[in-house]
Amino acid sequence: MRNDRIRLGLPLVAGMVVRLGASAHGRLDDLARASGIVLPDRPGEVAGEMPVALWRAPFEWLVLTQGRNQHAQLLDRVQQVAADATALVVDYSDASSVVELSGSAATAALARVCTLDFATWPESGAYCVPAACARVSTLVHRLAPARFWLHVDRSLEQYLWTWLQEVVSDLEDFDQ
Amino acid sequence: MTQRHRLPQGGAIERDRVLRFTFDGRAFEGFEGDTLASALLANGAGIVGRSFRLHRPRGLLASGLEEPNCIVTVGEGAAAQTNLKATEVQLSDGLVARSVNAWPSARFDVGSVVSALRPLLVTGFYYKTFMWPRWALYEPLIRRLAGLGRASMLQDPDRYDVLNASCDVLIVGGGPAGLSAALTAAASAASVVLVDADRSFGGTLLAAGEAARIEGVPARTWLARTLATLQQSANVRLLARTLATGYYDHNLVTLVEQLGSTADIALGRNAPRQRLWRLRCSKVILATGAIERPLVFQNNDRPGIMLASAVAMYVNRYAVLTGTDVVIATDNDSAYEVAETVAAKGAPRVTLVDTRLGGRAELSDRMMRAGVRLLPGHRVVAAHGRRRVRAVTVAPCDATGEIDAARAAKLRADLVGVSGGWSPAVHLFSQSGGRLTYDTKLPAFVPSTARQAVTVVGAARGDFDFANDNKRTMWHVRSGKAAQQWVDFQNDVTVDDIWTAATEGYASPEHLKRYTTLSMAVDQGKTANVNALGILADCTGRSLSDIAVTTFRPPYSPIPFGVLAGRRRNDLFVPLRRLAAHERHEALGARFANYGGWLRPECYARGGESFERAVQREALAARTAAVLFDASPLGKIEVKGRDAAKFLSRIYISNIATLQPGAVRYGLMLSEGGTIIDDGVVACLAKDHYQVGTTSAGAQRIAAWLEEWRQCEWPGLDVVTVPVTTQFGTVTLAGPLARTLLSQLVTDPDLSPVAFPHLAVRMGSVAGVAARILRVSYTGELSYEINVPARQVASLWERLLSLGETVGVTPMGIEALMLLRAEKGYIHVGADTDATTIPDDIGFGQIARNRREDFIGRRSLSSAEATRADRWQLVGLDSLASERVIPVGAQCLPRSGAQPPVRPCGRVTSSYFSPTLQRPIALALLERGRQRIGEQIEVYDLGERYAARVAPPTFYDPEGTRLNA
Repeated sequence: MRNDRIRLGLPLVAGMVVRLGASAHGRLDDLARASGIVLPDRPGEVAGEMPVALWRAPFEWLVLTQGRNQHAQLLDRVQQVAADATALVVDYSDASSVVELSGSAATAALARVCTLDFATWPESGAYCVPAACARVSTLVHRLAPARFWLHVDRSLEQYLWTWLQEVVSDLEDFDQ
Repeated sequence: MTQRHRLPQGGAIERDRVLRFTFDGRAFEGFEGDTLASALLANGAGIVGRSFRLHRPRGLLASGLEEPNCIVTVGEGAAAQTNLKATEVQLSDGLVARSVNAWPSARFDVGSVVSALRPLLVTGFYYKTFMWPRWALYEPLIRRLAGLGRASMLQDPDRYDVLNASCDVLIVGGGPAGLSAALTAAASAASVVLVDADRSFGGTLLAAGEAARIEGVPARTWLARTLATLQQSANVRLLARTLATGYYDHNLVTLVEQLGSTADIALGRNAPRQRLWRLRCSKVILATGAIERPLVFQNNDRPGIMLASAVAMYVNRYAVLTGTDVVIATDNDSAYEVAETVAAKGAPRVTLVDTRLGGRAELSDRMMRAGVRLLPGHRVVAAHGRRRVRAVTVAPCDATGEIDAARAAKLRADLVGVSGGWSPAVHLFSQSGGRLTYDTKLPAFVPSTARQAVTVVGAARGDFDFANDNKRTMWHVRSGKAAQQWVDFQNDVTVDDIWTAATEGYASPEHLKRYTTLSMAVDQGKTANVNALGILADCTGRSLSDIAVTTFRPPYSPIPFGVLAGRRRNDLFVPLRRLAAHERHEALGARFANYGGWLRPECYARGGESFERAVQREALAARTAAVLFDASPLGKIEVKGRDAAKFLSRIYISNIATLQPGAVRYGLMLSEGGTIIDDGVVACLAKDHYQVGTTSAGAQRIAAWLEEWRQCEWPGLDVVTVPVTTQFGTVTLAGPLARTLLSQLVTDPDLSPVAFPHLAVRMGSVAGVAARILRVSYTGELSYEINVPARQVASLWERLLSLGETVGVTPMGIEALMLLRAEKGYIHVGADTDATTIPDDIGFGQIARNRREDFIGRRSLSSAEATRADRWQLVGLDSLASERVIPVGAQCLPRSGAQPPVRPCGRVTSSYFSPTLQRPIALALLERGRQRIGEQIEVYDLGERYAARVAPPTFYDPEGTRLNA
């Protein structure tokens, strides 16, 4: 779906979940070296630009790449760092889907999907917040002021997509 | 009719845009800007509704959402909306409206014969009458007569939008107080939202005459200027046609905005009809105004009697005047302006009856100049006329309100405007948790202590711009027939009903409400509540200050369920997860159903075969050849860390610490009460690394549960968990030919029984795709669960299916799986267990008893309840009547021939016709079941009896030869 006000898409994004147990917190530097990203340590923070790391929980991140080869190599490097530690590095490429919402009406569309108050977000920069979007657990990830990625469980992608299609269609047709 | 009550000039209507509509099948005309109510009045429609209980003829009482009488259904077929008030329906061309609770029309209603049964239909009649010989005989008829409008049973074709937003200041009410507040707020940098349910802002200013002034300028000029200022303010959002419906915690207010313009309808565009706003506000200002109260006297419900403010609204805003002999009856100053207006608009004879003696000279002078006859110190005691008011009886009254009946006189009247004072609209304030207090001077309930960030302004706070100094001592006329003095018009509640309720002990407002049904109709008692409380106070010798009001609950006025549902309809009704191979299953003719939030194939019926036939065929295929089953939704959680084994050993009743890499173990998870909450297999992937399996429905719940224990109870354990359920797709290949088939796609791992025994996990490659293969079985056959990345599962499914074509590989749905596992005696948590089932009940008691270390629920297993000798235990039941499948839920009788009601000693939890064994089988939980193997029992279900023999729960391959092949 496409016009200047609002666009809906399904970008191909690969990802992994990295989670460190308490005894593995000391591996942060190793992880940074392996991934090329200083992993964020506060809620909402996003670090890097492909690969990019989103804060999910204390010592838990969703690390994204675009490109299967890049993903495979990164996954391998990071898994090696975590191999003998109380840490899990799990390929999440098939567990998670990304729905992209962009355009000047993107936040108007999101207002019909979730209860997030974007006025409380940092004015600029990437940011991410977990929310229920269309009653589905989602990580709402702002890449740019009018560009969002909604990270949702793959099995619920169809549901969220259908909901957003309806919202976007109303915004396109009725300018509401 | 040609709008005979329409004044030749004036009103905020567009006379050059004529709209045609029908009401009860009759054709009428109105103008753009009319409501259905104003158009009906203009056309002289006097009887526009029938009351609920007695089908009394009713006319319009009000001009807003407080209207109790003219309740209509608008539209036809699926688009019909019912129980709307005619005052809230904007007139449109082609509108079709019908009165509710009347047939064939409000004017001539067959149901009016019910009035003859009035002596039987007293308040609370259903507790006292229609008892002999039994209530059930009358119930169908009474239910048929009950209710007002009939909702369409067709799907609502309209669409609804839902919007979440926030603002600094929300102002509810676009009258003078609300507009003033908006101007003040707009001057700051705050984001402001101003809402009003009407399509125009202005509130009472819309009913004001030309003479009305505000801040020294004509009211209409002030209104226009104020709106222009607000519209030009970038930080102000004006929402007309928007009703504030509810006030919730943390200053969340819900609004329902009317969308879908007539232009959209004309263009056939399916625009959303309404929008639900969920608005989070830093501050709320309630400028919701006040609702006028009717006066209570004999026959005060006659058509032609309306609230005085409504008379003014119809005259000034809609240019409708429905009478020539007009009587305005009041106990406060607000009605004087109404009398003035009516006289100025040409009513030849206007009388104002004021209960108060010694009114202000200024007011008397105004009435004299206006040509209005003033009767101070008088009260209307009765109205006359049946289908319409024809006259009223007025009598002098003293300072206490007592009338002098001897000096009563009859006045001709075809329009009566009544004003019994004003009740601040405190509903939203009360919903916010604010407390109310009774102001004896007004008299009315006013906002007192707020509990949230809310301010009340204007008439909603009890600030009136007229003298309301009525020392009211009488809430109704204490003469005449109390049974004909109407308090709640819609539900036909009279003064007599209130006295009866109080006399019978229902003396609290909550009891009064429920016993009499006062305020329980569509109008929610907006014009009745305070009058009723005043009468109740009189009945019970209390003051109103001592009476607590009933709780105001959302919505403020009825709204459709559709707007609350928003987009949650049809495919979006509930989030349903889809399998990665969904399209493949669809192409195979799968019949889908919702299983634990997943859309899964229940069977793959072929060539028109029935569901039952398909399930039997698929189950047999698993026993004789091979089947493919999509097991992707099975929960999978990775657990890793130095203390992973210790952690899991506390979670399960089994000791996971002894599980070696490559091994799999079945486990039960218990609640702290010792009851089974989930089951599954644990696979040891490597040292300190496990995959926990859960049921499909329990995947998310158990993942959260593991985290809760890890974070809150055992934070010192060195372990992490990550759910990976949907990262993998899982294809189960099961049946005697499973190994033969799989070996064609697998070189690694070695599939031989020695290298890859039952209850083992191996990493390898299937059709070139990296896979995690578990040899586990829920069917009782040789079985492999092949886990691959979810995006690969569809192609794997295709490969296996096409490879297996020659040997008859069959896709299998979940229903056949359930049948097979029942043959094997494997439980399905939630079906064969309930919230009381403990491990010993299903035969796992010894495993729990053998554990020396602690695990969740262990302590509870030694309780007296858990060790009772007569617990219900899992057994099999062989039906002794061949072909008769015992229904699930059937109850085991304590002895054969027992007649219900008796206490059952068990129930059937799973039941099928076994294609393998060619006979019905069932699983049941039975008291002391394991001690009763071989015993014959009787099972009862809805009048049918089934003879069965108690058997071990494993009907098929009890030695496990097949699954260990």
